This record gives sequence, structure tokens and C-alpha cells, in this order.
Amino acid sequence: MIKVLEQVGFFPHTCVWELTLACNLRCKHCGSVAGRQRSAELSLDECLRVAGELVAMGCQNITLIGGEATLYPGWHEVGRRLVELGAQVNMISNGLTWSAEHAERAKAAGFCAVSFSVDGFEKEHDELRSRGSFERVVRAIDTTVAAGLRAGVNTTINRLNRHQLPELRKYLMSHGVFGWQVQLATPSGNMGEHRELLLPPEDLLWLVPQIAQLCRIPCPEFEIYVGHNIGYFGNPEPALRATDVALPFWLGCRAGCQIIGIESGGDVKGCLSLPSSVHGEHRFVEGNLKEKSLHEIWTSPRAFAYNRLFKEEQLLGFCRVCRFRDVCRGGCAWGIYAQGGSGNQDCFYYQAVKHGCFDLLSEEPTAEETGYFAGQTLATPPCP
Amino acid sequence: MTERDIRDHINAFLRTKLQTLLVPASMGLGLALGGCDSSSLHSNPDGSGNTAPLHPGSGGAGGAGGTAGTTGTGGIPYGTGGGSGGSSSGGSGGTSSGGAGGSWGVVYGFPLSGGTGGTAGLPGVGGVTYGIGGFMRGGAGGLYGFPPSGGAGGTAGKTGSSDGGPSDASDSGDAGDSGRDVIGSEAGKTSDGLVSEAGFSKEVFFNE
Repeated sequence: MIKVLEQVGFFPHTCVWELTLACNLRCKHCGSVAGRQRSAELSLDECLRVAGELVAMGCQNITLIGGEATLYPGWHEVGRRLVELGAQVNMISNGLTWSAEHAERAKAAGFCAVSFSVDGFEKEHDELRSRGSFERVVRAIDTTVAAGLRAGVNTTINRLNRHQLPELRKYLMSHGVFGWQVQLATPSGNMGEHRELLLPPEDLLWLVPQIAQLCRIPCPEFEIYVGHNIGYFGNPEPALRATDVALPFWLGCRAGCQIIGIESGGDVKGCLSLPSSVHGEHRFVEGNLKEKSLHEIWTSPRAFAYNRLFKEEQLLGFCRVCRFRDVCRGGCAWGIYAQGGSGNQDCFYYQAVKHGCFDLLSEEPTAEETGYFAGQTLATPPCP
Repeated sequence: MTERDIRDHINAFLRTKLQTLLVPASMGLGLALGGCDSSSLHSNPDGSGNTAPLHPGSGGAGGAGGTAGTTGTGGIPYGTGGGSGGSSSGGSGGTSSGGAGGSWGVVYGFPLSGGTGGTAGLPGVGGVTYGIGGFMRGGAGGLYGFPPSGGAGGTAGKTGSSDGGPSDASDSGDAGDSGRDVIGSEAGKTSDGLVSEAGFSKEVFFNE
């Protein structure tokens, strides 16, 4: 419900900032199509200016990413400036060349944590990334923890690693990882060329409850963070979201409302995951920081219209009849875009209604919802 | 959680939110329109006036930017920005430093994230001016557990021209005070958060 986000106020509370698109890996599932740097990436001076603008506008949490963020020469200086201005700064790395020196720099700059991408155990991780990359990323985690810096892990769930989550959790804990973000692979960028690696959507019917189960395990020193493209609604939902807040459920995509993404070339989007020039898509780019100030871009009347000026008519497929359509607004904007015009099939509620798994929901679906699938041949209900 | 539960939560939230928006806003407006004296408009955290009194009358430079800020215990409910001068015959407009966070997050748990810069005092003809800085942000974590943070810099005050009209921006505002976690800190500490696309930022007033 966009009104809720509007009442809260549109300000960039959280930013994901791509420092460079340059990367030393060519991962099969990379949504950014990282590899070569963009043609005109922001200089260090420009980044430092943007850092000031960002924090002045209320940004509190910034995650520096790439490409491979450490390939940007001044990554720690940008981080340090943000920290000095009062923001919480994290960073994501693939760990390939991460060293004790990197860890010390990040620590000295005041980073809260460094998160590493781990996409399964060795065989699956290396299949997606490159041979030997699993060994290196584990070493990077160990190096970071040894340096006294918090190490997190990001995992993109796909067909290869979908059965590994419980074991992976234990493994990461044994290496001193403090937090684990899980998100679904989306058919965007390189993953659009490797759709065979995508999770079968009906798998959500056992996977989401399993993630919820993992979230319920009391463990103060290890937290699971569920990505914005996992959910929504149904019985597992309370475990995926916080319950001690005023609105303990999914409230729709916040891109351009309280979240902002900055590309290394200066393009500003509501969420860094949304497509841009690399994907031949420009509609989500609101402006460029080489030409306008961040404030100017953020406060432009038509900026982020897909969310700020949301209309239910924008929804497609099942989402148009879903009882939560005004609250959820179709889920993750990136996911909706990447999936094309059939609505958000990565939605747990969608799959549960489609497959008649009403026991997974908090209440019976409406006639309009079940009617949407009338006459369709459904796949065999999945099992773990 | 059923659809009904969800809508009840949302409606309750919107009702609360509406109150937190309207009450302080109408207070500020009422004070200005009512011709109250400058000390009311430029209170410091301890309730005292700040350094930017109004100077109605002829000539005279505008007040300097107030250091503003609040999160105080005895101050007004929200941080007013630095005062701005102005005079009946058009002095220079005051500079305005960014107001720090307001303290009404203490009560309502408004999503306060540190005062953004004051948008400068309105250099006025006639001199009734005030800068509202950090009006909606800053301050402590409230009922919804927003993590407090320091106020951000102001976005510069505007120097009034001789006829009171705005012209160049002058200084950038001061950083606001850090917010303090007062009540509602339970939620602030334990609220689950999530991380958006990356990183481990704790979520705030609602959850993802």
C-alpha cells in the first residue's frame, strides 16, 4: 500500500551503491552482467560528493558492491567518508582476491560488515562462478573474521543449491558468519541466458516454509535476512518478517520510496537490481549524478513513478485479482519486470493458490483468486 | 495473519501517522501565524531561545543560523532550523543551519533519521521568518524502533536580498545531534530487519 510508504516519507534510507561494474568473475547468474567497467564511472571525488549528498538526504545504510567492489581503487575511502558522515556501511565481495589487507582497510574505515557471495557448496558454487572460487571465498570469510570484522554471506537460491540451505547454514555458522541473506535467482542479466538454473516456481511451496523454519531457529549470533523477492503472505510469512514492528508483513517494493540504487556510471535507480543500460532498458533510470544532484533526481515530480504513483492497473496476471494486490503491489519490482507479463510467479501466495495448497495459507483464497486458475492443468503438487 | 489482520494493522498505522504529521505541523503554523515571539520558534533543546531572534523593524541583518537541533527534553516538539532574519525593510536573510532531529519520535516513534538540513529561513519582507529544519526527521527511535542517527547537514540558508527575496545559498547547515533511543527502544533493538538488496541494514518502522 503505497500510502503507507508515502506517510513514512520518501527518503533514501537504504542505498546499494555499485562502485564499479568491473569484476574478476563472470558468474552465470549475475544480474548486473558484471565484467568490464562502465565507460565513465564516477571518480573518487565524485563519489565523495555523492556520499555527502546521500547522507544529507537521510541515508543511513549503504552497501558498496560491484562488479567486484575492491576493484574500485578508492572503495575504502568512499566507505570511510560515509562512515564519518554517520552512515552504516557494508560491502559485498566475491572474495576472490580478498586478503588480510582488505579486511584491515575495511575495518579501519569503519565498515560494519563485509558480506561474501556463497552460492552453495563447492561443486555448485564453482559451477556458477569459477573453479576454485569456493575455496577462496571461504578463505576470505576466515580472514575477515580473524581480523575482527563481521563477515556475512549472500546466497542466491537456484536449482543447483536449492536443497542445501539447512546444511549451508550450519557450515556458515561454523566459520563465524554472523548473518546470511538469501534471495531467489531472477531471470535477468546473465541468468536470463541460463534459465535452466532457475528455481522451479512450484518449489517455493516447500522452500519458503523451509526458509521460515530456519528463521525460527533461535540463534542470536546468526541471523537470516530474507531478500525482498521471497514471500509473500501465507503461513510462513511471519517467520520471514519481523513481528515486533508496527507492520509485520510485506508491504511491497520500496524502490524509490526508501531505497535507492546508484550505478558506477552515476545512473540512479530505485533499486540497483532494476535493469538499466546494460540490459538495454532505460525506464528505471531517473537521472545521472554527473548531470544532476541526487536531491534533484530524488525529488523530481515524476521520479520512481512505478512505485510512488502506483496504480493497480499496472499489475499483471494473477496479481490483478490477488486480495493483497494493493498491499503487495506485485512484490519485487525487479522480479516482476524480469518475469515478463504473467504476474509474479515467484510469489508464494500465487503458487499456493495455483496448486490448491490452501493449508499453507492463513485463510481460504477468494473465489476470484481460485477462478483465475480455473481450467488450467496444474503440475503435480511439489514435495521437498 | 489474515487479510483482515493486515488491513487492521495498516489502518491503525495510518491513523497514528496522520496524527504525528498534523499535530506538529499545525503547531508550527499556528505559532507563526499567531505572531509569537522568536523564542518560541527557535527553541533549543533545553527550551531556551536560540541564537536567531527575529528582528522586525528596519534594517538589520537577519539572524544567524541557529544551531537548532533538539532531541532535548524540554524543547519544542521538533527541531526548528536556524532562524532567519529579515526585516521590514529587507535585511539580509538569515542563514539557516539544519535543524537536528525532533524529539517527537520519542512519543510517536516517527521514522526519524536525523535532521536533514533546514531549508533555510524564509527571508521575508517584514521579517517573520523561520526555518524549519529537520522537521520530519531526526531524534530518537520511537515506538516503531527506528534506529536513531545523527542529523544531517543543512542545505544552506538563503541570504535574503535587500527586498527580502531569496538569493544565494550561504552556508551549509550544521550536523544535527545524534538521536537518542528513548522509548520504543525495545523495538529498535530487536526489530528484524532485512536487508534490502544487500548488506545487513536493520529495518525500521516496518519490516520486510
